[in-house]
Amino acid sequence: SSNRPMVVSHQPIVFETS
Amino acid sequence: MTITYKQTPDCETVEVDGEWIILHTENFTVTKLNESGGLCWSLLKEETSADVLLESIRTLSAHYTETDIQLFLDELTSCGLIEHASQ
Repeated sequence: SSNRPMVVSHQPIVFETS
Repeated sequence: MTITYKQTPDCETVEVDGEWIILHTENFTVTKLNESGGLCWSLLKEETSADVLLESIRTLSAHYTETDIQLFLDELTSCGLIEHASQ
């Protein structure tokens, strides 16, 4: 198969130290 | 024997307006799932097989297939969010 279970987005979290 | 999957440790989950946001506090990643993905994700808190996931998600809609579930499990695995619980 519309609207199958899925990962919409996947991103690393970036911390500002830089 | 049936393969079962389980959430990896260090995951924090928040549900906002039908979208599920998962923070992995060890890998420093943020992952967003759609509503049906969120339902599967909540079941993966405990050891769960693809068959059980499919059965549960068919309460939302009968048209989901085994392939849908397997694709989703592969996505979660590549994101580092689930692991094989047993083989």
